[in-house]
Amino acid sequence: MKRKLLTALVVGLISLAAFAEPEGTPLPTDQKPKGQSPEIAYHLFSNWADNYQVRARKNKAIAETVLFSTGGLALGGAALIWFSGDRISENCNGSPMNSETKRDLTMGLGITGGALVLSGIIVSAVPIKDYRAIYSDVFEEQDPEVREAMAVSVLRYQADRGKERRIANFIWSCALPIIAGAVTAGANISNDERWNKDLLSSMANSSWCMAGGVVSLFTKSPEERLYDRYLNTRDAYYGATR
Amino acid sequence: MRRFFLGLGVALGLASGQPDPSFFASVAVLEGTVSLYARVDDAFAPGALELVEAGTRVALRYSARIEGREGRPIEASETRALWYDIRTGFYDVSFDNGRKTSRLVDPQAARNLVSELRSLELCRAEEVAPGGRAAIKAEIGIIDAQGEWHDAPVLWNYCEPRAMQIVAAARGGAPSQGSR
Repeated sequence: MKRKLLTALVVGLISLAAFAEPEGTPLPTDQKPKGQSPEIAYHLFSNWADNYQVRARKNKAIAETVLFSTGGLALGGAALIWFSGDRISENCNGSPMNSETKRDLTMGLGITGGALVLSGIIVSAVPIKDYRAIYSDVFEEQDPEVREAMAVSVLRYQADRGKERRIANFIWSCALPIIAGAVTAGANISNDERWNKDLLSSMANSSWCMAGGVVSLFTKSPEERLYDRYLNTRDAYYGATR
Repeated sequence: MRRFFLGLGVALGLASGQPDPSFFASVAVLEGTVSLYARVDDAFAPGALELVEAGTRVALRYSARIEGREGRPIEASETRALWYDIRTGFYDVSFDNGRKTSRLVDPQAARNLVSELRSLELCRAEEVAPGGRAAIKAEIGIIDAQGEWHDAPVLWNYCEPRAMQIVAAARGGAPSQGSR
């Protein structure tokens, strides 16, 4: 009896698995070979354009939330100190707040909050790049052969821009300690002090940016990785060796 | 003086290091049809690009010859040409042996279209002799106003990219090697 039950169970499970087996993800209609080669670059580019929109919208929402909330908090803090600082201080220490401390704190928080809120406004005002609209000629092209050639060109262009961005990032990160040193030296001269006073420490403080620049120099941008992926997929499909 | 300038021109030409094009071709059987894939990297050296910008039709011709059954060879070729239309500011590409023309703004896309032949149907798989060999070659030339082809191997440093392959008619999908 046990054996029969076990056999029935195994057969049932196998048949269930057979019915549940997915039929493999079908290619989109424009990707089916039909005797022609698949549009590898167009497929990658199309996905990239859509994913970019989704990612950019998400990042924008996060940035807006962070900037407006922290900016609002800082402005609220500034208002609280300015209008109720004395009362709070009296409750805590029994004496009103030091006027200089009150002024400095209010100004510091006010300026920081204002800058953050302004940044938030700028971020929300900048429109998200719509690559489907920018490259509408690629998406509207009807001939698959031409469309693929256009998509390859776009992928390559974006990869080149990605490479340029990381090189520029590296150069800026290297320039930052030099700028910091120059500002310190200028401030020292204008204050009639030795020009190299605290020069090295100010340069060292900003040198951590260089690490980020070096990392970005040796880390390929997503666009470069996408173009590499296209080349690898193409070569794998056509059996090429590069 | 003339010799001096000729020598200078040759020396500058050598020093400029015009890259030789690299050729890749492969033959695959897709849905029972033997089709050719061919690509020429660096097909448009500065000299060729100058001609294109001046409105000259610089063309690439891909041709394949396969050993068919009963010793009859099967031949197919495709010519693709690129030129710049000064009046419209577009790069025009004629492909499918001149049957189709496409106007492109992006010169890179236009070059891609000419230098990569993604699929040229050659014949049915059963028409190929067992273990038949396919000889594939690419040529560069100029097409004149009458539509006549003129060889211009100087644009490729006189290199003649060729590939030889065994067409495994039973195989489908991705093909085997091809080389210059």
